[in-house]
Amino acid sequence: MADILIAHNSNPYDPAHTFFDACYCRVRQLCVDYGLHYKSVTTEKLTEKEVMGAMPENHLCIVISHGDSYGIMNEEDEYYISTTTANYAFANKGLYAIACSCGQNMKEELMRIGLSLFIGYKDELRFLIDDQDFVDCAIEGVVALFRGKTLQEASEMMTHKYIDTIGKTDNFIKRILLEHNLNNLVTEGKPTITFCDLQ
Amino acid sequence: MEKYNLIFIDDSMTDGYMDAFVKTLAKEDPCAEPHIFINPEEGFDFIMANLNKRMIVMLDYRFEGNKINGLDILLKIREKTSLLYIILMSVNNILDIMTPNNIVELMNQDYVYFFNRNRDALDVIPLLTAIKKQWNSRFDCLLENWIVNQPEDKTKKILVFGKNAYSWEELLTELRLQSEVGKSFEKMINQFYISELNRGNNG
Repeated sequence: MADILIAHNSNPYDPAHTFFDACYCRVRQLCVDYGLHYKSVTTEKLTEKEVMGAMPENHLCIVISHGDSYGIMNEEDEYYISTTTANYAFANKGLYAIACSCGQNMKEELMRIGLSLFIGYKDELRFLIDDQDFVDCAIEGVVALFRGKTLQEASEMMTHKYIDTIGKTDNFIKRILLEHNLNNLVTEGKPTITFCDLQ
Repeated sequence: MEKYNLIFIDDSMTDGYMDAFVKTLAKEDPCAEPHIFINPEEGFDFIMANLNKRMIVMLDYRFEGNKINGLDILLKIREKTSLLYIILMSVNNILDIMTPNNIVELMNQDYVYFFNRNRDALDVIPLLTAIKKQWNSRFDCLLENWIVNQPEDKTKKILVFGKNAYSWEELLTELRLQSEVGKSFEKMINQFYISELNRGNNG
């Protein structure tokens, strides 16, 4: 079974800290639940060198960090995956980005060099602080992939999760923020590809 | 109807809260909480510091001995917020105090009214009523209303947009400033309702 690299911004002073941390804990627990081997790269080591260096021995990278259309950055605002980093380590791999906006230029560049699977967002991720539903929606695709679902099924599961959660809450702002995240969800790759197909 | 700030910026109101015009309006509209500024700069600063509160600004056109006039202040306010209602006032005929270009500039502003101060103070009431009615029907006003009525601490950071966290109060200020965040928030709401309609679910 494929191995997983989790790249996580753990800066406790970041406004998104509780969200990032909750996502990280859920992803880590899912790895344990599904018997998957994972490696974490957190704040101090969240650099291009560390992430790219770790990718050859991993098959899926799950990033939980800030991002923009050009890449994903650490707490120093330095890109560790971007349109200009050495991305060949991502050929035939998967990237699951719980990060803002990287579903634009960065995704295009990674697909160009042979990324097999991308799940991420093409605009800012927006959420209520300390609201677990945003975490559950964000990691639903991880759940789907670990269950052996295809990329298309994972995309559908995420969409359903968002719509379900929107339907269940009376909180007007929460619904709007969830809808925003759903509208900006980006999945790309062969629709039938599964987690086990990643090399 | 909830309380709102009724801001007077008028150098002739030297009697302060005893000014007949102010007293009449305060009596006729119990929801109005008057704030009087003889110095236009102080009035402007007060408005900017209170963008998270509901306001109507009654702005005199002419300030004796001051290089700036009411239109200058109005445009200065508009640089910061496009949502605030402003009633420009003057004892003079509008054609006597403004050039045609000034009048066009005034007409091109949103949410601006003109009131002739020679008229009875009670004649302002229909304008205030019209504005308050818009607070209950205009989308951005309804949104403001919703935020104002949230039960949580308004100063506590509650939501995150990308790298920045906002409290309800800060979000309201962003909306009134019509900043990128404020506009993006309104856009997000529009998109939400479009998606809801597309899903055939208005619930």
